[in-house]
Amino acid sequence: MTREMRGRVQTVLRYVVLIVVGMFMVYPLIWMVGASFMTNQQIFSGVGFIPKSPTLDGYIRGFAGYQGMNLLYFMFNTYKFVLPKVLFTVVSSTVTAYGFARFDFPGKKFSFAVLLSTLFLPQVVLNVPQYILFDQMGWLDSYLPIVVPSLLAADTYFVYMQIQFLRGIPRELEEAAQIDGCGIMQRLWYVIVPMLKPSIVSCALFQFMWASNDFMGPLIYINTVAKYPVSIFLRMSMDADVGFEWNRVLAMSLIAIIPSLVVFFLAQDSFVDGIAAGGVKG
Amino acid sequence: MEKMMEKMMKKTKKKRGIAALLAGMMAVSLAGCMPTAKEGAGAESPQPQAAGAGSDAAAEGTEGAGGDSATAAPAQAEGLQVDTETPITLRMNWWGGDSRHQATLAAIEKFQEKYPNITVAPEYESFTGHEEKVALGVRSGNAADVMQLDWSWVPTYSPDGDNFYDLNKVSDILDLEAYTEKDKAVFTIGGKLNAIPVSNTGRVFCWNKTTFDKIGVEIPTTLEELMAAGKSFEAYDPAYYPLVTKELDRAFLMVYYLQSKYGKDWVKDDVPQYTQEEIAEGFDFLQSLEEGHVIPSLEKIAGDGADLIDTNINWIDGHYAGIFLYDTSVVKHAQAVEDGEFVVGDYVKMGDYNGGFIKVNQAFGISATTEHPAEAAALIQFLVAEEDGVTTLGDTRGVPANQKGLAMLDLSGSQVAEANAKAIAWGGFPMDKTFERSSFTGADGTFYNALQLSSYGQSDSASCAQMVLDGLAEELAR
Repeated sequence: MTREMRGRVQTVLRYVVLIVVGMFMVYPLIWMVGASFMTNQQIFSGVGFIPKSPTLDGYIRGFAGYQGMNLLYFMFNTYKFVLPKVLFTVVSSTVTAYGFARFDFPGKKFSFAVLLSTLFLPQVVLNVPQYILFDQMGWLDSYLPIVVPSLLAADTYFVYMQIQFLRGIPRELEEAAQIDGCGIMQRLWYVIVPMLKPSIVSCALFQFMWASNDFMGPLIYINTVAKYPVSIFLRMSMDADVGFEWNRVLAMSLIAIIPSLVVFFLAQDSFVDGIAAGGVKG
Repeated sequence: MEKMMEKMMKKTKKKRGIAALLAGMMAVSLAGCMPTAKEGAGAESPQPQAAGAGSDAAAEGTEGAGGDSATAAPAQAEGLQVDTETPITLRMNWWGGDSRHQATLAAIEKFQEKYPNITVAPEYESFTGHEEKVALGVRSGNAADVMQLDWSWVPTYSPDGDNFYDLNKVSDILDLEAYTEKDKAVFTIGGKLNAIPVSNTGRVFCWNKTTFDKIGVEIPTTLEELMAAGKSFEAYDPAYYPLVTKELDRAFLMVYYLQSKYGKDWVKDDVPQYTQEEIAEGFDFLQSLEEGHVIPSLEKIAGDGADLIDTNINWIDGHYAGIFLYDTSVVKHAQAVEDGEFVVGDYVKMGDYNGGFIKVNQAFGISATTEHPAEAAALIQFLVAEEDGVTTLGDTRGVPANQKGLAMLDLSGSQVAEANAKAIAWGGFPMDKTFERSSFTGADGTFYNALQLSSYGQSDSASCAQMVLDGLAEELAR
C-alpha cells in the first residue's frame, strides 16, 4: 500500500467514525423534528424519526396560544430580559475580573474567596431569601429580579472565567499603555477588552443560553401571564393528569430554540476559541 | 529552606482557616433560609405545636362527620357585601393543561360580565414548580386572592389555619351548604375552614375491553375472577397481562386489598392501624398476583422503558389490559390506547369491606392577606355553583364536589364522571396525608423501595412490611 493510499484509507475511516458518532449525538435533535409531526401513539411506539402519517396539528394548535398571545409573543418576552441580562453580565463580569486580576486592595483575598464560595451555592438555596428580598423592594412581577443581579456581577461563574483568562494576558502590554499615558479604564478598554474578546463571547453565549432556558426564576418572580417567557409557555399545556399532545410541545420547542441555534452558529468560531484558550491558560 | 516550608505551612493554615470560616458561614446562612422555606410557618406561630394540633383537629373533624366531636364552632358570616361599583382587580392562580386553561379563562370572562367592576387577572401554568410558587406567595403574603390548591398543601402551608382566609366568614356569599360535612372537615384547621374541595377522586379499575374479548375473558369483579383472568391471559400469550401496576399503583392496590379485608383506616389520628403481619400479607398478596400472571413484575415494566403507563407501548397496544387509577387520569389512559375499547369497570371485590382511598382532588382557597375577600368568595361561588361558571368549566377540574354544581352538569358522555361516580358510590376510606408524600411512596421513598425489594425478590414480606411501618412512623412524626 502506498503512503498516499494509506492516508486516504485513514481519512475515510476517520470520517466514518465521526459520522457514526455524530449521528448518535444529533439524533435526538433530528428525532425532535420528526416527532413534532407525529401523534402520541407514534411517538411512544418506536424510536424512528420518520412520521408514518405526518400531521401539522402540533404547529397549528401551538400557535393558537392563550388569550391571543402565541409562541412569538412569549419568545419576544424572553428576549426582553435576556438581551439586557447578557449585556450587563458581560460588562459587569469583565470589570470585576479586571479588578481582581490586576489590582491589589485590602481584603482582596477574602473577597475573592467569598466570590468563589458563592459559585458553589445551588440556586435552589437562594430562591427563598432572594424572593423575600425582591418582594420587599417591590420588584415582583417584573423582570428586575432577573436582570439587576447581573448588573452587579452576581453570575460568579463568568467573573471566575474572565479572571482565569486575564491571567494569561501579559501585564507588559498594559504597562506599555500606562507609559503611553493610558488611565485605568483606557487600559481596560483599549488593551484588555480586545484580547479578552473570545472569552467575552463565550460569556455572552453561555448567559444567552442559560437565561433563555431559565424556568424557575421567571416562574417564581413573574405572575402575569402576559409577561411569561417562552420557557414557561412551553410547559403551559403539559398537564400530567389529563395528558397532552407531545407533538405540540415539540413543535413549539423546536421553533423556540431557533434563536439560540442561530446565535450559537454565528458566534461559533470565537466561542470555541474562548473555551480552548480559557482551558489551556487557566 | 526550612523557613520557606514554615512560611508555606503558615500560609496553608491561614487558607484553611478562611475555608473553614467560609464553610461555617455558608452552613449558617443555609440553616437561616431553610426554615423560611417550609417550616417557617410553624416557627412563626405562637405555639410551636400548632402544626400537630391543627392536623389533629382536621382528623377529628373527619371523624366528626358522623358524630359531633367537631372542634370550636365555625365562625359566623361577617355580612360582607360584594362591591359592585368600585373597580377591583382580583388575582386568580391555578395549574393545569390546555383544556382547563381555556375553560377557566372563558368562565372568568362570564364572571366579569356579571360583575363589570371586577377584573380577574389570571395566573396559570403547568404543575411543575407551581407548588414552590404558591408556597412562596403564601409565606410572603403575595399569594393570589383565589388559589387552586392541592389538598396536602393546605395543612402544610397553613398548619395553624391562619394562612388562608376562613371561608366561614364569607359563608353568606360562598354557599357552604352544598358541601358534605366530610368535605368541609378535610380543610377545617383549628375551627377555620381554609379551603373548599372542588372535586374528590378515588382509584377505580379500568379495562381494555378489546383485549379481554380477544382472549375470551369476562371483565373481573371479584378477586377469584381476576386470578382466573391471569391464568387465561398466560395461556393465551404470556406477553398479555390483565392488570398493570407500577410501584405507586401497587401501594394503592395493596392498601385497597388490606382495607377490603380488614375494614380499617390505613392511619387514624396519626396512628398506623395495620400490624406488620397484616402488611406482610399485603406484600404476599402482590406476590400472588405476580405469580398468578395477573400483574407484570416491576422488572418487566422497567424493561419496557417507559416512565408512565400511558406512554408504555404494552399499554398502548393492549398487552396490558387493565389499570387501577384515579378517575382524573382516565382520559389520558383511554386516549393512549390504540384501537381498543377502554371501559370503566366495577370495583373488584376483595373482601367484606369497600377498600381504597378517597381524597380531595383539588381545592379553592382565598389568601389570608386578600383585600377583597367578599369578591374572591363571589368568584369561587360563581365557578362552583352558578350555572354559567359550572357549565363553562365542565369537568376540567374533575367532577364537582359541590352538590348544586354537580346537578347543573350533564356528564352523561364522560368516562371521568362515570369513574368518579363509581368511586364516590364505593366510598372507601379518607386518604391519610402522609400517603402520597414523595418520601414515602414517591421514587426512592420507603414504601416504594419496599415494593421494589419485594418484587425483585430481594427481601421477604415480613421485612418489607417492617420497612413500610418504620417509614410510616417517620412520616407521621414529621
